[in-house]
Amino acid sequence: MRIVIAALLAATWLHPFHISQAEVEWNPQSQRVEVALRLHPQDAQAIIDRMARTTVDLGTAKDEDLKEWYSAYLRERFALVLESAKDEPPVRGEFEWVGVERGERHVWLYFELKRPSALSEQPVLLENRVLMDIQADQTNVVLLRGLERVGLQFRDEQIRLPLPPAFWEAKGASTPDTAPEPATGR
Amino acid sequence: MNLRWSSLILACGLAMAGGMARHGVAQPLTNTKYGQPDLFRQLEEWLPTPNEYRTASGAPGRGYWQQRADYVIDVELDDEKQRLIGRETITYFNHSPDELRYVWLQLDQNHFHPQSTAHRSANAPSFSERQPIQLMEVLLYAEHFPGGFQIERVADGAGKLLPHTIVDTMMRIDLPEPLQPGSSIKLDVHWSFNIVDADLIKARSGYEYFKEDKNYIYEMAQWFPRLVAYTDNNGWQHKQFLGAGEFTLELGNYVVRITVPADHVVLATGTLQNPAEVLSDAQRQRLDDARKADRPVFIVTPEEAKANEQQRATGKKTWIFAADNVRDFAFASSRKFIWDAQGRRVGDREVLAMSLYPNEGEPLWSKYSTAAIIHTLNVYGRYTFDYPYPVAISVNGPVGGMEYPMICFNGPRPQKDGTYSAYTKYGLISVVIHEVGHNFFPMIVNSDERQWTWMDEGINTFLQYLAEQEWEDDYPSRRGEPADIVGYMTSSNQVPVMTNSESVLNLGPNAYAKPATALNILRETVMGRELFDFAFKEYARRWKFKRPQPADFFRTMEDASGIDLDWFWRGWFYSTEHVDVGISGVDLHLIDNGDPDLQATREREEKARQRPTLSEERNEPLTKLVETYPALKDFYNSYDTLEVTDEDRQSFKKFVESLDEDEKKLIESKTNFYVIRFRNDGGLVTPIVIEISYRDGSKELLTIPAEIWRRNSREVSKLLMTEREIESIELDPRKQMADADASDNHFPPRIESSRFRLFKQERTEKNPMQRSVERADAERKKREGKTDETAQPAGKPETNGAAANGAAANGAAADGAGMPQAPPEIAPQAAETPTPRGGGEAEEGDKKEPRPPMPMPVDESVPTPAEPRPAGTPSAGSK
Repeated sequence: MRIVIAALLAATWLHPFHISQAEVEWNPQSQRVEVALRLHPQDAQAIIDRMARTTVDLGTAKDEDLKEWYSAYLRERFALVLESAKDEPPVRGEFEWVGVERGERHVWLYFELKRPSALSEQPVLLENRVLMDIQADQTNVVLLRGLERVGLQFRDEQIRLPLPPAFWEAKGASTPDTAPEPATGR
Repeated sequence: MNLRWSSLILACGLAMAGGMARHGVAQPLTNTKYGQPDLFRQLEEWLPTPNEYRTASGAPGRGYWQQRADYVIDVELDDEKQRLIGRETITYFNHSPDELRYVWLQLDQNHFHPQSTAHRSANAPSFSERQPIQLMEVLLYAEHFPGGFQIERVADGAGKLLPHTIVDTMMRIDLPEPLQPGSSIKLDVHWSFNIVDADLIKARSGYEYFKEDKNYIYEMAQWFPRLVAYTDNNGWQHKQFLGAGEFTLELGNYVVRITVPADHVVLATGTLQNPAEVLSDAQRQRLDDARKADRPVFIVTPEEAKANEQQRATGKKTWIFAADNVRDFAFASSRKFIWDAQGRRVGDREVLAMSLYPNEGEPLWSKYSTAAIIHTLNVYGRYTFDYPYPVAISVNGPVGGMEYPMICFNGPRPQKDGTYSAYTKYGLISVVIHEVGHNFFPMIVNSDERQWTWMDEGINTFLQYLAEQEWEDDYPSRRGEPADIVGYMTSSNQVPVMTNSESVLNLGPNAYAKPATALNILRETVMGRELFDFAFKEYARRWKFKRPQPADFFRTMEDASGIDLDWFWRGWFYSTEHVDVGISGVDLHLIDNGDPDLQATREREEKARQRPTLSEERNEPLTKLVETYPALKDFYNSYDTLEVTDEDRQSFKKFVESLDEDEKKLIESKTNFYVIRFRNDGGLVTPIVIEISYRDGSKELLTIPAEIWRRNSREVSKLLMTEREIESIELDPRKQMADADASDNHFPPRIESSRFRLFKQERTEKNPMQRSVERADAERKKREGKTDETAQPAGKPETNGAAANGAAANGAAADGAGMPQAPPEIAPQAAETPTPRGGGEAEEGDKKEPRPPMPMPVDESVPTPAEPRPAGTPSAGSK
């Protein structure tokens, strides 16, 4: 098993640097953060292989198995957490699986996150350390919908970031519940 | 507002000054009288002043010079102790106009010394992510590994010892007399070092140990002290080797004699000079066959390699290689190697493509490695120049991916049982393309990797993308498409591309993907393929076997294409702005020809269109006074303000007669004058690509050049004159602009659903059986519970099937409760399991288009007519 010290040698001449991208949006009606996580098929494969402890053919794998593997992996690595002391395990909000979509260029994973505490006294952070245990130099970008294209960047050294207050105030703006406006005349 | 922009500009300026320290940047003064930076400002102020070494057009100048270093090296590989012992004679040619009192050599192996700057300045590893025991093993190994060159002797050509000083990974040799311009000296260095375990510490060279057969694979690079580059713009480029920034080297000729165990197979930079001594007759014959073959031929077969693994030859053999005009030298040696080769005609020469790999690499390597090498030479050759070297080699070993002249090391391997995932397959093809591609950049177009990672990695990644796209349809390229870089470009913690390699925060996205994507956009959208390919080829031609700087690249691309690109380099390479353009509105202007009858008709129609106000409506039935007492009516009650008098008509007729023929035609024109307004939210100026859909069904694609933003980089408007009527406009329909936000890319504006919502909606719709069961349940409950129907507002506008608002995935409550509905009509559909999305639909960038608007209110009992979906359940092998 190849282990890397990211600190000693940045494995960058190896062209495979790694980046993932997710969109998150707060849904005030359901009181959940909706997440659409986009991975390269190779990264999705790496996750499944790790959870299944063997090579899995994604084309023929059973949905329940995929759901189980993805969920088990993601719930530990992409979550809403409360700030915690260094040596205490973080309090993570619940994870609810929604589904997966596979294309040739990307794999999309959909899931919902609950806040770890009902009361919003303690600041809630977003933790994203997806793939950081599988490869070095992983960068995870998270786009916050509802805000002016704000992107958070998660790296090895920084796996938890605060969500701006405006994020929680979003009124579910992306919901297509109104018909588009008619074309203007002159 | 001005103050905020001033400080922003100042901050950007300072940041750029840091990255540009060597180039003597002049900062434009902050302009407080116009609250925008000048994004089209010419780049002259930041680029170095042209001189006789590098011209303003981006070419080598008439006085261009570069040094040269030739090497004759004898090296022995100790397979017992994993050590390398070597001696070299360097002939160093001073082609500079300067006198040199000392020379510097680079000692890259010193990087592995526990006391190296790299080691001591490293940040603590992140303990949260690695398994503790193995991390300890690696940390301890790195802490105690006796790495680094042991320099035994430094002397001149006559044998006289020379004083030398080692500074971390650099060594200064003080010359007895200054080396004059035009002269050369010989240096003699003896050294040895311990080879690092490249499987344990990720390194660019080292060994891999195989427990099963107790054998090693050696991939050797940075294994000899070599000359530091001395350049016109940098003096000695001896920035320490810290790990991220790679190498800056001089071109020269090499003769290298490599002594290894007699049963090892060795390949290196260059051609084998003594095949009769080290190869069997059979192997030499096979090589001859390979030169003419149209597919790879085994020089050492898998069976022979397997048998060879069991041996332990007692003697040694010396393999002699010679290479001309290369900037470095690497080799690989092992008794485990399978060796395949295939000749290929390149221009008027023959190139031998070869691969070395152990049986652990089968069956993947024999199938793809040499084929990928040849593909790379073909594609890259088309965009730059014919590959000028005699061989191109790909080796499998511990190193994941690293490039050297004519030889590269690549890591991907299949599973132990010989199976491999698509991931591994494409990983191998991509890394071979990438590493072989590096021959072109930076081995031949010899850029300074220590300073600018992007000049070779970014350019190479761009060409890699082009080569991948020519390998097969829908090759899963990881970077190149503009939509893929958008997330990174909008995120925080970024530095500009023009930042020194060691200071870049995310080297991958920053130096590989972003420049590669920028070049792609330059090629597809800004210049077009023809102009770009010409300019790029000119850059490669100008700087082949020479040393370009970023300014030379920027200038050449402009010079050869005729397109002003200062705004492009400024935006993509010097700033961290992203692209986000939106349509803020569309206005229509028509010619009013003054005809009073037409005007009256128009006004009548407008009036008729107007709805009476609420009060007017309610007041209408009331009895009015004038109806009871008609005598109160007068002229004004029956006066039609819109009536056209003959006077009006006469007046108009006279006006028309006063016009000449052309003027008459003009006022009769039915031309629509549309003004489309755009705003720039992202900062990075860009060409604007729009697709206009007309009411008559026709469509038109328009590319507005980026120059439209030159006076106002925040808001612009474009006039469109057409006889047709515009129905809708879409910005960036082909996802080529790297636009970060598609929600404002439509006119009329479309509410853009989040990807999550769309997915959830479809999940709901895909399950009609479940829904009908729920509906039946709800109906039953309603009957039993005698819910009061009037309590529910009729025709609740749940448009677009958006009942998913907060509802759980099974869409229960909202659509079932209390809505009077017709019995469901269920169209036969595929089974419940989610159908993977194949094909282009989901792959157009990271945003899906929302469905066309649906009629209100939605009858949710009828499944929404979905876009035709590729049929198939997961088991039908959909991708």
